[in-house]
Amino acid sequence: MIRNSPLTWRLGIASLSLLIAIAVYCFARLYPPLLFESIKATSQILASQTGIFGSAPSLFYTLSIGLLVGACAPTLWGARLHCLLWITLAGFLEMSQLPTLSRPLSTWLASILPETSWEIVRPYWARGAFDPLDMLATLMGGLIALLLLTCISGSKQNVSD
Amino acid sequence: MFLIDKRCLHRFLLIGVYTLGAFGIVASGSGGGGGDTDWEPGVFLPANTFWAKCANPRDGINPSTNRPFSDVKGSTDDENNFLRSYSNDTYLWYDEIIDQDPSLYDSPVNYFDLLKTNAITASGRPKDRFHFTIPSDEWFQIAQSGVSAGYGATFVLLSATPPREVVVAYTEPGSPAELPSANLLRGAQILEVDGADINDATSSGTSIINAGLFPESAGEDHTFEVLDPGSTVSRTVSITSANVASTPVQNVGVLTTGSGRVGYLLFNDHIATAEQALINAIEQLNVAPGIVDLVLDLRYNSGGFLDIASELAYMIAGPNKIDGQPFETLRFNDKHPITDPVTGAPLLPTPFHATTQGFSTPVGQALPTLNLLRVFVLVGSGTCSASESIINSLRGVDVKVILIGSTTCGKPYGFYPTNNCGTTFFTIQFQGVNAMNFGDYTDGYSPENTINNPGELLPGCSVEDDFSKPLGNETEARLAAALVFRDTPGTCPTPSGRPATGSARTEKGLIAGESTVLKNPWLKNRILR
Repeated sequence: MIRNSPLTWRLGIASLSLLIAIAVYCFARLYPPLLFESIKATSQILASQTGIFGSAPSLFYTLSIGLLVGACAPTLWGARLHCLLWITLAGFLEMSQLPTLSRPLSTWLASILPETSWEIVRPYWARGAFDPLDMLATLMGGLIALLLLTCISGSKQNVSD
Repeated sequence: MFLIDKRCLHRFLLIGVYTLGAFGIVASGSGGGGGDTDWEPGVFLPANTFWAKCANPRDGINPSTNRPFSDVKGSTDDENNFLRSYSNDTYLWYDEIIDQDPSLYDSPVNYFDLLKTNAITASGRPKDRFHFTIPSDEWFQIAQSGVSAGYGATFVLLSATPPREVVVAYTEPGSPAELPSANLLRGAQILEVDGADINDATSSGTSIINAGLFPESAGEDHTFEVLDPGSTVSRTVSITSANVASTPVQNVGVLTTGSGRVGYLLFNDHIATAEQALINAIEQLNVAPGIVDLVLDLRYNSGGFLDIASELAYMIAGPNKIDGQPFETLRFNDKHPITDPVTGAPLLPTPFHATTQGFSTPVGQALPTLNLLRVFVLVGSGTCSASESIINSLRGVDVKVILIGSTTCGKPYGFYPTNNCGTTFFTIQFQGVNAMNFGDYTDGYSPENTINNPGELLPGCSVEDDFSKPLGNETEARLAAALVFRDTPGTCPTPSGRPATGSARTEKGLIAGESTVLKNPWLKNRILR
């Protein structure tokens, strides 16, 4: 039975934060007039915000995936370990937008990925820019996930039950 | 029924979540990347959809508005899309732009370079040779104060291809070029730059020459081999670049002739500080008993703020001659026949400003006037845009303009500087016509006896630039010719015949046409605020 188990909580929080991340992204970082004409005014206000709000999708996204990898791990320690791995991966992806990393990485990825796949991911390095606030949000999201995993699971409980 | 090992299931799920998680970041642009829109040829969203959405948003205060920058997080795609939509809306020849996918260009500046017409004029020159960008912080600095990195020496390129000839046209008072250690005089010829011969045609040699002649920042040390005018022995000069404030109005004086007092005024840049300097100059010339004629030296004035051109034209002609007629009327593209697409204001003619516009003096002060019925203008290929509008607008109100020199650059066009995400873009948006509805001088204005490349012909003399004499000296060839023509109309020295291409310099470099004044590109323009 999984009802009210730590796994349920983690999945619930992960799904919720993923939804929040997508919602924030759509409001603040896509093209509001195209997507949500009826709520254009609201989204324009949100889009005009700078700083940490612009990085909110990074926070919620790292949080949600952190909880999901935690939910998929067989033990609490495994959950923590995978959450840390996820933070590292997400942090590396943000760091990879630094020109010193993005150029060699783009060259290498272009040489190993099929053209159609490369075209999908190319803009992330070709036109994306490293943002310290995104980096901060990524780390914060990951740490919150780590904290939630610990709090929800209890000290010795096996997360897969 | 399948039995799945529990550990295998965990691993499978973990790999799946990791993969999807990483792909989600990369594909969605979460974390500051991506953000593609689908490009549909010929379909343009409003430019405001993309305005100030930057790959690298700026913090701090915008010096042109004194308010925080409006930048929000965006992508290079957003910046390119802004340029695409903005050009489609406001570019004078928008229907001649070949629409190209903005997502294929990683640099907005490179993409902007494509957003112009490739057409050629009847004389074989590119129809749009005025398309350029500069970093916004540089633009703010130059536009407000006239300050830019350099030596305070303006060079003229008499021959772009070897044997090259680069000479000093004039210097800014108090600049590094005028320090005793440098003492660069008008007419000094540059023979070597940082060890590279001025005739070095290799790309590395040209790079050294360009880097030396046009320092990017203050504090750069460069060495020149210089041949002073009248000298047969060269000397080595080391100069350190500095942030130099331009002195746009120089050598104001009165020449006493047998037929009356003649004013002389060297006007080099339509920058903000020129407003006060021009008022001072006109007041100086008006000191009793005043002057009967004016020689306005615009040979190195390649443009700038149109409002300042309007103020000067008013000060020359005075209220009676102008009598309510417009200085210039702007024509935008056919999408905007009634309103200005940038300000949204109704399209009304630009008046001859009778009062100050607040560039470097308080707004609304009455301008002094000379009330002249004619003006002698010293011109060359460096006379461009806002300077040409002075000539054109005075002709429009029937002030006689006599040209002494060579063909002007031919730019009856202008634009608003457009700042987006740290770059200021200059794309041609309008053509100016005078009170007589004339503005077709794309091949420039020429003195009537010009031999080569004549543009719109006006009375006057074709006279080569005389680097052997200081500007404002009555023996300098162009000024001397003006004084002779004034005393004996129609009398000119033998025309020089030197080609006057008037090519615009789109990049700092020695690749432009002949007789080119090497200045910042923005100064070769007709700019609205």
